[in-house]
Amino acid sequence: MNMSYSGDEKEALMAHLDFLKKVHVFGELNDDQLTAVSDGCVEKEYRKGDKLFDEGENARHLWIVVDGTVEVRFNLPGYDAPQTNTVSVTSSTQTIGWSSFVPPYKYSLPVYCTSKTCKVLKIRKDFLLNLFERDSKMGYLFMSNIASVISIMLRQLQESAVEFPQTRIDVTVHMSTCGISAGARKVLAAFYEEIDRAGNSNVSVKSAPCIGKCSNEPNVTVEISGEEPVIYGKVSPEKVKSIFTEHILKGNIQKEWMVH
Amino acid sequence: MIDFDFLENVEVLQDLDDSQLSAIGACFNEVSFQRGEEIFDISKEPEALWAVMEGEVSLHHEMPGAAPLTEMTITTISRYMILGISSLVKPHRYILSAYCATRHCRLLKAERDCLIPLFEEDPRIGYLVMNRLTGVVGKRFHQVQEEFVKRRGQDLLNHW
Repeated sequence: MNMSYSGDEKEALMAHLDFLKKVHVFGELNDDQLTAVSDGCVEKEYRKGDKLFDEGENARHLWIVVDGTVEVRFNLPGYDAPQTNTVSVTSSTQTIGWSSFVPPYKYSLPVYCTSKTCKVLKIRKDFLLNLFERDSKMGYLFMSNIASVISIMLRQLQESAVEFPQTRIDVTVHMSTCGISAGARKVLAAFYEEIDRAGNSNVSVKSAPCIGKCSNEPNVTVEISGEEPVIYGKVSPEKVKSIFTEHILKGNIQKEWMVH
Repeated sequence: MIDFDFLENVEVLQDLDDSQLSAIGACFNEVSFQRGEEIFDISKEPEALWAVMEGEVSLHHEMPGAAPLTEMTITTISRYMILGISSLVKPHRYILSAYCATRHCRLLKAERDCLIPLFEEDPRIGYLVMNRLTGVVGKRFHQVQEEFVKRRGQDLLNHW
């Protein structure tokens, strides 16, 4: 412990130590070790919507949220729906930026301040690694804790994946005598080719009997989980390409080929 | 007798010197599995760290009570790679299930009750191993996150 602190500095240090003691990745560190960590902390403040760091940036800092809420999000080119793109939400005493300790040492997703203001502590990775080289016990405790933080987040991510299961898409090619004579077999083959090309494991294709719209054969029904089925008429292998790319992959129903 | 040429290449042991390898090597024993045999599943208590010597092990994401749709292979573990990370990482609960994916799998197994006391007695070994292990668990996180983002992104595009 540095004994040359003034009264105010000592008070600030104690406040820092009290906060750091609550931070999971510094759990079990003693006061001397926390004081050493505290020397490397830099406080930063952000406003709502500010980006703390971006996807692909070199990960050189560990970040600890002091006040406010930050969100890890993913970007979809051309789309902007931050609420639905949120992967995780982080608040006081929680750590982000652990990619700084994981090869290839790049942040994997962008992080935004989502409360009115966000106060964070930034600690240089190199500063911490130097401390650990001098104090292996501290390094052992820290690395055990950060592995635990990642492991807990991994479990949370898996639980989120269950809450948002992959969309199921069922394609039915109607193949009675009338459909087959109108080219339904080629249509079925074209769907299989598109699935193979796109590598979609969530699209299933099956054949089924006629649906009574013989003048529009071959008929195809596309059913995306949670949505009304869409029936297409006079489907050709060329139309299959558009239906697959636009409707199945992008959600744009091809209204001009629909039958009612 | 554990093969030190193998041990020094295990992904979490690469920073250890010969005396440290000798100390940790005393914790490992060899075990074998056949294709499809379960090495562990998420309902079990994580008691050991494993290193693959021969064959391949697949790690599956399985959520208890969830539909089969949510089950997927996250990654395949091969020679020099480790599994059973949860044995050394709190809260000590398996996240993925592991199965032998080849005709024959030969692994080294180290009990947590041997490793943790060693790390506490010699924190340098503990630090070097846990530093590498953090990289491994981070890599697994990124693999799951990538799959999750791909699914969520596809869902968003499908419902736009």
